[in-house]
Amino acid sequence: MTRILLIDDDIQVCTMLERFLVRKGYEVDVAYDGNQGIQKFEPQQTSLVITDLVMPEKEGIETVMELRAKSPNVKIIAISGGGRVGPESYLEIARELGAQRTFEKPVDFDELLGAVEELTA
Amino acid sequence: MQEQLVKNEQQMLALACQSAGLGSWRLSRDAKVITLSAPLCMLLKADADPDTAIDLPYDEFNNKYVHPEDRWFVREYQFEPPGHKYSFRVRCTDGTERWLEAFPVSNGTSLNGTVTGVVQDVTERVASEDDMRNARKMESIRSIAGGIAHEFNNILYSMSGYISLMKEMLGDATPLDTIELNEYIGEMEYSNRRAVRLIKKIQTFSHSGKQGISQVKLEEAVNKVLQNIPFPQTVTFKLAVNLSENDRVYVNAMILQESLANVISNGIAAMDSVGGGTLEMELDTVFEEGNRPVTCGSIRTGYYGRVTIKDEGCGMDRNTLNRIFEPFFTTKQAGQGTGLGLAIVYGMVNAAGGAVEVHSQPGNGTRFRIYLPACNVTTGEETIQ
Repeated sequence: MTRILLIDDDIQVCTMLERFLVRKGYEVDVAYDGNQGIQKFEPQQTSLVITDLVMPEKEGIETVMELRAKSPNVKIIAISGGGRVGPESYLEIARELGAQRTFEKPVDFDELLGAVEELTA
Repeated sequence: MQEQLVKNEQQMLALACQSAGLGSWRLSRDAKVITLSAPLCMLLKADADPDTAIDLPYDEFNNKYVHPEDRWFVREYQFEPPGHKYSFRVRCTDGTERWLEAFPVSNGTSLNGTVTGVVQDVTERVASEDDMRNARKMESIRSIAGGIAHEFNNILYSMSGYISLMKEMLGDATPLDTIELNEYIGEMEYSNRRAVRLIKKIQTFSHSGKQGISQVKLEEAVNKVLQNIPFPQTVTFKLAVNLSENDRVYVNAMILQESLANVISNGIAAMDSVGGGTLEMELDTVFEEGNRPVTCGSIRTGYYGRVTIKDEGCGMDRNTLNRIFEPFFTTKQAGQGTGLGLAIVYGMVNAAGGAVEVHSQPGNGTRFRIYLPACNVTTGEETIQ
């Protein structure tokens, strides 16, 4: 079964995304900040990471860099609701660091599912 | 000879007072008569001989020159001891409003029991303190708005996720339920989209990033906006374009169009409320020198594409003018405006490195001047940062 790691500090967002992805037939691990995300990430089993970018403890950008260092081929979707500089800035950095797809919150779910299917195919 | 010397002295003193914006007054022992010195009369533009002091009944002075909101404390402070200063607004004979700072020098214990004092015109200082306070206030509103927008995005994100899950699961319900539930979900989706649009507008105000900024032809943007604005019959429209073929500005094109539409619509609404008028619009490129703080931002040395929008509407007083760029501030009736129109203009010029200069007076219309950094088209680089 395809395993997806979800990282977002908003519990309600995590629960919703988990239900959404489980319903679509994916196995889902959930982490509530970057540190937890790095711990739960298993290069052999995790097919895709979906991470928020503005988070306490460990920022999403830093998380993306560490995941990439741990496993250069990891597939990443970065999602941002924007902080002081706006979602586009964070997403631009995430793209440069190698996130395959980026989305602005609130996300269009058909598009998100399309990206998940494409990256886990 | 002696007389001539005295006269010269007086003239020198008057000149010094005039350039420093100084004047003096004396209040009679019974507080019924106030003597305004010649320089103070000049400050107030009082209709009097420039070399002579005038005596006025105190009540007449207070009612004629002191701003209505400040009359009570000017009356209360008239016996303040020396060393205590206070500021108040006056209305000059020519209709202008000035800020005066009063310094009592004697409080009745000398000079035959009269109260004497000096006033100084501090209008410019008050205005620049006002601008600084305003800039700080806008900065904190921006950061609050950005924070709220971020939090709301998370809330809307999970709401829209559940809405799309519910839509999918509806297959299991009875056909009748399905119709009704679909209708409800449609309403929820509509509310959700409304909230998303609102958050996008707030983010336009609060963000300072350079995303989406490109070289834009002002005339094209204006023409696109004008196609979608209905002008009432009472409003005449004039457009003057003084741009060269290659002139471009550095801005987010979509936000520019939205901003222009907002300023034009406000102008139309302001004129509609007074029975109509002419809306004049001008596009030009200007070179500015120095560093000039204006209503929103500062104009620094460089070339700017400038959009002037001038209406003959009801105009605004200074208090309103100080607040027009605040998000959710509106002078329109409830339900007629979100109060985000000019907040978007603020966000646009902040992101692009431009500025907005607004001149307005109650009853005399309003003129908006939007300055956007001009691009050097031949090299494809912006000419100013």
